[in-house]
Amino acid sequence: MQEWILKHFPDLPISVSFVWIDFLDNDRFEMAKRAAGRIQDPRVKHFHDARDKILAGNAFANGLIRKHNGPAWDVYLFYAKGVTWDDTPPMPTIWWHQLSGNRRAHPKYFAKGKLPEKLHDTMHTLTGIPCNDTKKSE
Amino acid sequence: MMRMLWKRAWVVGLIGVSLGWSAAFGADKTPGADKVEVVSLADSIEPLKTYFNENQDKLRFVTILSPT
Repeated sequence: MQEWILKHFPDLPISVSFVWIDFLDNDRFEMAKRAAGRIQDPRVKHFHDARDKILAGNAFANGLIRKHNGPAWDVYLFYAKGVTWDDTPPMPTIWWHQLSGNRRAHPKYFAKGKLPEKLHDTMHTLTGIPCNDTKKSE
Repeated sequence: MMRMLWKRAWVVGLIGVSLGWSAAFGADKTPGADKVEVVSLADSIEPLKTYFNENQDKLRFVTILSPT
C-alpha cells in the first residue's frame, strides 16, 4: 500500500494516517509499533486503536460498516481537501474495503482483490497527477 | 529407527516453538520500530481528529488495519 500511496507520489502533499487496530487475536501495541516501523515517511502518522475500546474503529464504522457488524477495519479512506471532522468522522470522498461480500459493508466499495489498482486509480482521480502506468505492475 | 524419528520430531518441534515464541514475545527486530512514534488512542480519538483537521489543506488518506 505504501507503494501506491506514497512511493508513486513522492512530492505530493498528502496526510496519511495509519490506524493500527487491535482486531485479530495477536494484535497489540507492540505489533502496531512493529508494523509502523515498516512504513516510514514524513507524511505518515501512526496511531494505535486499543482492543478494550476500539474508539477509532467504532467511530469510523458509522456510515461505512453495516449496523451491528463491528468496527471499521481493512478500510482505505480518501478525503479531499477541505473536508473537516466535526463531531464524528466525515464520510470519505472515495473509499474501499476488503471485507468480502456485502454482509459487513457495501459491495460497491469492495476492492475484490484489486486493492493496489483501486488505490492507484483513486490517487490519480483525486490528484490529477499522471504517472507511468508500468508502475502499476510493480 | 523410531528413536531417530522421535529425536528429529523433538528438534523440529523445539525450533517451531522457539520461533513462535520469538515472533510473539521476542524483542522487536523490525528496523525503525524503535524510532517510529505510534500515538495511542486508548483514552481518546482526539489525536487522530486533530491530525486530520490540521491537514485539511491537503488530500488525506486514512486506513484502519490489523498490524498482524
